[in-house]
Amino acid sequence: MSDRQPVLETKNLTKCFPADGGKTLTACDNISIQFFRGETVAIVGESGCGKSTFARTILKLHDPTSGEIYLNGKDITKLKGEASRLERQNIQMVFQDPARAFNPKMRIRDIICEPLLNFGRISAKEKDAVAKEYLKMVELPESFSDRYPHSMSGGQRQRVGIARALTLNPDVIVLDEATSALDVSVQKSILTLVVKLQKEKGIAIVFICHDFSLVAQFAHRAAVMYLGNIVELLPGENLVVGGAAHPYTKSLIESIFDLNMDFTQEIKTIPGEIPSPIDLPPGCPFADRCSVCQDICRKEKPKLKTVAPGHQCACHLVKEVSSMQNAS
Amino acid sequence: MMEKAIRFIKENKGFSILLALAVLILLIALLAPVLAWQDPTYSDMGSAFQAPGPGHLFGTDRLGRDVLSRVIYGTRISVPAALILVLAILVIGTVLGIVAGYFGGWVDTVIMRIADMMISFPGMVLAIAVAGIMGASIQNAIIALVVVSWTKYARLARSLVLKIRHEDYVYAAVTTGSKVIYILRQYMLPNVLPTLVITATTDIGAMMLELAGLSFLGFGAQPPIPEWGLMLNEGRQYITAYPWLILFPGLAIAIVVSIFNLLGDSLRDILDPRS
Amino acid sequence: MKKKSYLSLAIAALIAVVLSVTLLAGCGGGASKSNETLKFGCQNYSDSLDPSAMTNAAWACTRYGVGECLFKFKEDGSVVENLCDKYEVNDAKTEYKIHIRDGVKFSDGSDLTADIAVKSIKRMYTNEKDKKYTSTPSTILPEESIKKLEADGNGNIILNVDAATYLDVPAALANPFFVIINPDTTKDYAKNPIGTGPYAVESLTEGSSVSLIRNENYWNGNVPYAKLQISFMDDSSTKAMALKNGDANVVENITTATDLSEIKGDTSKYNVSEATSIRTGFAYMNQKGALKDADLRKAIIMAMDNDTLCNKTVGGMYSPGYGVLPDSLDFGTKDLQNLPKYDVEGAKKVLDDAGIKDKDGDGYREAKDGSKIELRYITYSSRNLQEFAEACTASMEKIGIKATVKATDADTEWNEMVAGNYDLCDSNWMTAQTGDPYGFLENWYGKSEANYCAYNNDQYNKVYEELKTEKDTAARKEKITQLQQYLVDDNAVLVHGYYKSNMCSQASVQNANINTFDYYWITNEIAPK
Repeated sequence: MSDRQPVLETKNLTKCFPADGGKTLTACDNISIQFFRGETVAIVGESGCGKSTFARTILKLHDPTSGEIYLNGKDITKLKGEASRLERQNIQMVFQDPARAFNPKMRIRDIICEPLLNFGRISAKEKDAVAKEYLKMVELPESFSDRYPHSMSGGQRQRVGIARALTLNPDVIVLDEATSALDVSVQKSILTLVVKLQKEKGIAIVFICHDFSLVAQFAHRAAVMYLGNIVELLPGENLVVGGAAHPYTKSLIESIFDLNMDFTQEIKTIPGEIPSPIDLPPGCPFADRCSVCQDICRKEKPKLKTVAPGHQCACHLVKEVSSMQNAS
Repeated sequence: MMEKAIRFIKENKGFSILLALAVLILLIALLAPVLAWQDPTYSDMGSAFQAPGPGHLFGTDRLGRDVLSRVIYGTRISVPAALILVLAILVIGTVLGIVAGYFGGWVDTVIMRIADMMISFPGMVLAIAVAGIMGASIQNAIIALVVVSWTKYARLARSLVLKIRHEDYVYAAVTTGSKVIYILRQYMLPNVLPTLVITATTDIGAMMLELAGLSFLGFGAQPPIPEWGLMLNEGRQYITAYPWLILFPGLAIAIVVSIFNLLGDSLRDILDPRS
Repeated sequence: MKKKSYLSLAIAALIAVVLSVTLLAGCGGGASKSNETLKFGCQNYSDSLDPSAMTNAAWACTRYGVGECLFKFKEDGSVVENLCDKYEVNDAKTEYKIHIRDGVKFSDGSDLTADIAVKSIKRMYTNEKDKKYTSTPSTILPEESIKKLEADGNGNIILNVDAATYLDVPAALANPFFVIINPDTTKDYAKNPIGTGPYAVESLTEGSSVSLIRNENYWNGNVPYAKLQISFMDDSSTKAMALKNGDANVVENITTATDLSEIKGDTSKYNVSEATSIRTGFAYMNQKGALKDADLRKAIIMAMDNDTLCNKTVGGMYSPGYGVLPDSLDFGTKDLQNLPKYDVEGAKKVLDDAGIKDKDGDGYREAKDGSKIELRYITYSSRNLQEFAEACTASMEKIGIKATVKATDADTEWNEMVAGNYDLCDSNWMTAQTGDPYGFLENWYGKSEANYCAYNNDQYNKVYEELKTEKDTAARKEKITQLQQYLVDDNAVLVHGYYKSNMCSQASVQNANINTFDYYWITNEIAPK
């Protein structure tokens, strides 16, 4: 068992939004998770499961409805104003759509240096040199410094996004589907760059992603979310057939299209549709669509429990294994 | 530099001509003491109501004042007043609109409800009420018109801000530690300003008319100030007998307002040709 | 079939009845009684017709032909019987026995009796004490001077007054404050006072119009029009336009000279009746401010080219003069001595000699003690006063005196004047409401509360007090001339001129004449041609 301190931790983090007719939309439901230095944790799930909301909440772009966020051990949940702004130096985000993540009227040099100027770490004179340094770091030519975002490709822009996220030397970087808008060939190169930088600087990476194969390649751990809940927390490489314990994760893995899959077999899909996250019923969120659902599943919400070393699962039907056995 | 300027003028003939005319009007205002041969308030009671002729190209009014000199001096009143008015509306409307659009919530609600209230009043009526309570003068007329006219700009600025408020790059500015003032200045304002400046330029003419209208009704400039709207009022009762008292100030208003209107239109054509 | 024929018979009968009634009705009355409507355009001076409410309401009552008084003024200013037909008075002029004309009915058919007349007059005095009402009949006939006022049972009013005070009782009773309104049958004084005049109110829309109908019971001859429609027009050009396009067939007081001359010029279409009124247009000079300096006042008056102002600037609506009383009244205006003359250089010299010079080079003179002179000149837009104010301000500019015109409305101007919040304040006043200017001259009596300009001349005060009891007409004239002379000598008042009243009508209307005493606008003499 590791006694490292998490660089980022959430405890019972909940984010709700008001919906029509006085109802409540629960986007994140009691999420407790830890992130450590030099480690990549992927947050996976289908659209609408709440992973993007989770990302924006830990970045304080939304105010949490309840629960706490700890950054380097400090409770930043209720911070406002200047105190909150200062904490932003420790956690940064790379946004999903490189076409929209940059001010079209700003040059690359200014985009990259903006965070540093915000905190007075460099002077205006130093912008040129600093921009070129970071462009080099993300393997882009120095001449890009003068360009505008629209005269670059998506992949190049995403590299700029990473450069921007790095400038403040944050402890945590959140990649919010940062590769989803890119070509497959480009995705890998971006992530390789990220991994390299992570090794050099020991950054904790929160990797929001819906692509299981990417996650399996790059994430140390993966958290599977369904309707705002983490239903399974497992090593990244376990996101393959036979590696997961939770019925939802298993069905997800099995329903993935893969060039190598056996096309003679029946294509398995998860029956039903994702229910609305508005006014969730008690019990397991997956109850309606689970093929092995029991009575208890509808009545009592399962909690995350350890089912193998480094593997937690929230399901009544999976046996807990004592954490004592995880000594390593 | 010169070549760029010449090329610009050739490509945008209409705008350049109108701009030159507008500058000419401003020059007239500036050089009024030189151009007008007589003090606009100098009255020679005995030569009242003279028809246009030698010595008084535009005739004289009921106190024997030279109408041409008064029309020329009128540029000093009407034009700067309209420009100040438009500038004030632009600044107030932009600030309130950006604030309402960016912060949302109760700030937005309060500002927009006040704007709704202002719009539900017929502008002239409210302006008259304000001028009536505070006393009639050009300054108060300007204040009155600012109070009723800022809403259009605020709404426009707000909607332009809302267009980009929830873009990722604005959120990126937040996450990278930008202060609110910085975001408003560097992100919101540049998105808002071009459209609003065009609107403002087009409104100069309309505002000039409103000021003249208020002065005509007695709620703006007071005698003996040579303001065109006031001159229309003073000449109104003599329209059948001494029509030049209305003709020349009326023409002045029509011409100057038209020039500024057309200038605004052609500015819009240059900056925003798609609309 | 049978039902149908009965029905058509009934309808035919009905039509026959209706037709005959209409024909019969049309046959009623001779050529002097028409079915036409007289459309009258006038300024709105009062929303109420209750004579107690305020002075202008009483005037509206008589002007619109609704109410009449016991006596009335003729064109030449003499007073004659009206609702009374004869009266007896003792030599001391303290005991009056006024006989009410027999057979006079109010518009609702009730009879006019001495008793009702007395009640009507007493109501005015009762309401005078009530703060809700602002009419002041005591300024015309002081209540404290009345020793006895009652009906004697024989159709007479007994009115006994104070021996000491000079009072012209018939002239006083001709004032609109003493209009006879039936207190027994009037239900709404403000909107429908029941009077004896040729027309009776049918409906009234405040600020907009009054609709009246012929008083079928009128005692003094035929009432030519079936209806009288009064529309309020506060703007002179509007009145002129209304007359031209037929919205009105008679309008009072067109004060825009160009409109008036145009209408006068077309005798085939319009009639114009003019009269020199007993109104003076003048500006009070407030001696509580910079104008306490006699040299300043003198110079200002000398700087005014009254001839040009009256004849050109306001297009002849006034005739020039320097005395506060118009020359249409016989109170010595023509005999005044040492009248000022228009002399700009002379005015400047007066100021220079007095030490009123421009010391700081801003183009305007400062007072003797060096303080800035900036005169506040209040005016309002009625009877050309605003044009005078602007012209006088421009004239003062020529001699280096700074003045600013503040144009307001009649109400505000009155309040500012009473508060003394002015240096110059324009007014156009009826100078002799009872034919005698005693009340008007009180404005300059040093001990009066109605003296709003702080003028105080002991000699003036002495002569004024003598006037109160002076009963000899010749002596009165002499004293009044003396008072005018004091005002001229002290340069106390900035007189613009004497206003000319007019009434304009379309050619289809005859006898729309304006009276010097403009208490009367609508009379039963106004008739279709």
